Amino acid sequence: MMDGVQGAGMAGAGSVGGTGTPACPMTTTPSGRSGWPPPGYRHLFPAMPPPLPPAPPDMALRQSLAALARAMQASAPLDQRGDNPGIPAGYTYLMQFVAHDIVRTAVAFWQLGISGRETRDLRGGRLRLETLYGGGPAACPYAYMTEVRSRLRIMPLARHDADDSSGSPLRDIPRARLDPPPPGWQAGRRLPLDEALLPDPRNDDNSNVSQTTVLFAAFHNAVVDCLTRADAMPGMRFAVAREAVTLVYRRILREDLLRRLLHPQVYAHYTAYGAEFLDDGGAATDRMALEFCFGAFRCGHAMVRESYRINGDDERELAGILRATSGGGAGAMPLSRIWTIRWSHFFDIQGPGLPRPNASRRLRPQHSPGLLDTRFFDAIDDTFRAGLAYRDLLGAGVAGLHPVAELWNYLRAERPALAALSEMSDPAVRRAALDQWLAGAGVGAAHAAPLAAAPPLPFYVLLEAEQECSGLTLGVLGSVIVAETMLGLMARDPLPCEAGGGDVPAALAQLAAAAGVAPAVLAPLAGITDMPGMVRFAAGAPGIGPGNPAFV
Amino acid sequence: MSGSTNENGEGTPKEGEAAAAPAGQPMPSLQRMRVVNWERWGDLIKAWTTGRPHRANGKNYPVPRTLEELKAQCGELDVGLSVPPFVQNLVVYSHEKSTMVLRLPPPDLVAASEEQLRNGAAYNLPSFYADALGASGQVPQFASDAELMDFHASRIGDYTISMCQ
Repeated sequence: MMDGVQGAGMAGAGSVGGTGTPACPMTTTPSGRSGWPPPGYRHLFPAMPPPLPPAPPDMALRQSLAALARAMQASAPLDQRGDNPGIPAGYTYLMQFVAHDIVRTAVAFWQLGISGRETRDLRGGRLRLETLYGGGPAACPYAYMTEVRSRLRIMPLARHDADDSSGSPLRDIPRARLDPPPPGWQAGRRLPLDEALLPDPRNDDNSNVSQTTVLFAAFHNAVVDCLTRADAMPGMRFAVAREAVTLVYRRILREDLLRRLLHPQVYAHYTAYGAEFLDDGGAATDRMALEFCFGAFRCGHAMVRESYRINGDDERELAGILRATSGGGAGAMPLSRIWTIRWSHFFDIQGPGLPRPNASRRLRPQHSPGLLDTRFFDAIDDTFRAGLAYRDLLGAGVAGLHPVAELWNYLRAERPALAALSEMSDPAVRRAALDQWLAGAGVGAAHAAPLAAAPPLPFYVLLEAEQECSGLTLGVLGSVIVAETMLGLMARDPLPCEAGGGDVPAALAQLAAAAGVAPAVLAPLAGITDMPGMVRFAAGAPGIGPGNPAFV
Repeated sequence: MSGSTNENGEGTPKEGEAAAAPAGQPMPSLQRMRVVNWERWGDLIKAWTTGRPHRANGKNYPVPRTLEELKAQCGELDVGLSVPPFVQNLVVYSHEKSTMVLRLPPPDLVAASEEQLRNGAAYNLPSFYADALGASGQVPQFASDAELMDFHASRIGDYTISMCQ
């Protein structure tokens, strides 16, 4: 499902011992890979000594990871106590979309542990909505309307769901059958739409992320509509709309998503005027930090619910959401109304009669049972462990991240005030918390000892969140990794309209001028600081609504 | 029935044990047992009854004597079993084909299910039906309340007497 950022991060297999001194049995061996990290990747904090190149995880390590994965997936009450009142469920899928916008790995890291194959990151620009736009209308024409190339293509829902009088609202991603009809297909029957015509087909990994993609496409089209009504120069409409949408998207990441996700004091530190980053990217600014991709940002998987209210009071199970895709249920495409999101169920949108949104799950070392589904996350090696948690942990082991202990040592030295926010920066406190959790989860001593000595980063980040913040936000170390990566990336790589250092209204005025329209045309975008604001603006896109189900 | 145990070491449940909750007691939550990987669950049942190893990992599994043993086996096999908190005990029946076993569901759960369906709740069939029937991602739709209740009754009738098919 959420293998968008392929692989995961763990201070196990190769990464423990980080500075070249193996510290436990889960460390690098002399057979470690050369040429690591792969193209497009680097380690967080260039000033830290790099870990030794990781070796493929051996059976003993994989069995320990499998035991941990099992503990993370053990059945636990999926009641409201596990809900996170601070992060509505829509942010889970925004994070998946963001993950796709940051990296695009050729071969999943967990597969490297089995096959020994090579991989690389294929993403060019990061947090520039390449995951939505691809290379633009010239490079990805299938994603754009034929008659109005400046608009992204959004398709009608399945006809049998449409209101007879109003027709099918435009609420699905574009899909097609490109191959000849399958064997046994009878003329007159609907062909299975087994291809998602998206620049990034991962955005059809489940119906919630494909609906998030439609939301962004609708937002883009609404901006194009504003420019068209103002008679903007036709040749500039797409480029200006894209940059304006990306500008608002980045603002939402800074002011909405990260405000909710990060430890409040860490967020305040990194968003204060003049905040400095420890991670400047070094000589490899354009490469992505493994510790973010395969460690901290894996936290999104713990936020996935077992069921959702999609557009009414019915709870729809995760299994259906995973299957309502071109890959999982081509015969049932276009998307049916059943899986079409009413956004007030996913974001906190205020208004008369609007429902309360589904909450995401609290950030803690627990995955919803649906993420065990063997159709999507079958066993991948001779541990026979199914599920997304094992893939995350194994991928982290393959990635060979900075060990948790080394990250804390570095943070304590370089940012003592931030480190002091966390009791778990103390090795003894950290070890006690790890021992206690592993024992409570029933992980046997033989596996618990190496896991506590060198906790996999994706697991540690969740444990820290649970211990320090009751699972409402990430803890300190997890927040620092995410802030350094996402905020640092946006600071180092501003959009052209941001390069002058002006605020959002000034950047929008600059874009309006580029399109040959008055500043007032794009000025309404300056008021959008969060996802509810974006939803309301996107509701004005052509063909979206009001429809059935409602958009807002 | 040729054998039955429960985790208290007792034999078959007393007659009427599955009767409705006492008058005045609140209706139990409609939270149900859930399984994510039905094929692993079904293979585990096959492994118990035939003594053959489980297809997923080639291991043998004894018939569980307690709910905890059952959960442990399911955990090891990533069945994805969720058991509602009101389920406290386990009873395992094994029987010969010469014996017809009518597994009567708790009447309060039947009533609660009917009420919820009549109030418009979705009929969430296990996803393997849709996978096999080529309508993945769909949930059944019913033209009338009577049709919905017919389907509900048919399902109960089916799983009550289906003999390993």
